[in-house]
Amino acid sequence: MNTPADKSKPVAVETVLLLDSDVLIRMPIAQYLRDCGYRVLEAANVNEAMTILQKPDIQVDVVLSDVEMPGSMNGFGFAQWARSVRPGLQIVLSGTPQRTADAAAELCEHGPLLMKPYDHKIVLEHIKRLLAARARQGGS
Amino acid sequence: LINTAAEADMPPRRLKVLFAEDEVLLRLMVTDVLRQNDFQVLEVRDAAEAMSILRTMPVDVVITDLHMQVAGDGMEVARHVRAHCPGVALLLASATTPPITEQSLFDAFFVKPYQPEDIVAWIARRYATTSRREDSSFA
Repeated sequence: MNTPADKSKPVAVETVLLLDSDVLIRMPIAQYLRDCGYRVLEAANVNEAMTILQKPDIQVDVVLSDVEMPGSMNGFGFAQWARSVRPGLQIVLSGTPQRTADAAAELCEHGPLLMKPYDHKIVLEHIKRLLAARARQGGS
Repeated sequence: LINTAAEADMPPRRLKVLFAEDEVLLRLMVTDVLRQNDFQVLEVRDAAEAMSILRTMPVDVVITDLHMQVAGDGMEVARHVRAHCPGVALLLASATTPPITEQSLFDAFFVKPYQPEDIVAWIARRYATTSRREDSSFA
């Protein structure tokens, strides 16, 4: 006899470390990835991401990072460092919110639930609205 | 506040909690507990990020550290919440207390090292008797 639990796919929860210094991009992307079943760890800068990766007991399967990061190390430098401490770590670099949303959608197509919760273009539109709202209010 | 019959039939909306903390591992631990308790959690590392969120979307609860990137910048968050976000529950989660004149801004104070479950319990008590606003925000 099938129960609802039997019908669901077995899910190995994968963890994405999302690195983006702009909270109005990071937050919607993180929410999208969570909605499609990932556990998401958010890092606002390279130092935070390094702190997380230096903890061997914190599982990280994929890093999704902006290329442009404040400080002495950009996304490329961070990726090189991350591979040195966690060989085999999957690292995806993106340079724009569009590419970040595309990369998140790609993860959701191959991710734990193997489904997109909603079109990733909605995420991108939401990010654009948030950035526009911030610009109108003169925030940084 | 009285819930209408229509509201009574609706599943409860997830409360949106903004958590501001600059220590990433503590932030990770607390946000894990909050999410396990079915809150929608927006996490930020400093006052500037908190202000970006507060100026662009509504939240139900704000939990802030007192000293993040700048000493005392949690007070900036608190003053913004009190000036512009009526009805939002404001919690201080810090190792130190603010000046006595500013303490009345906060609804509750959790001293580090606090138990995240205590914060969860406080929010649950607060909202057990308070109806929730209609959710018109993203996701």
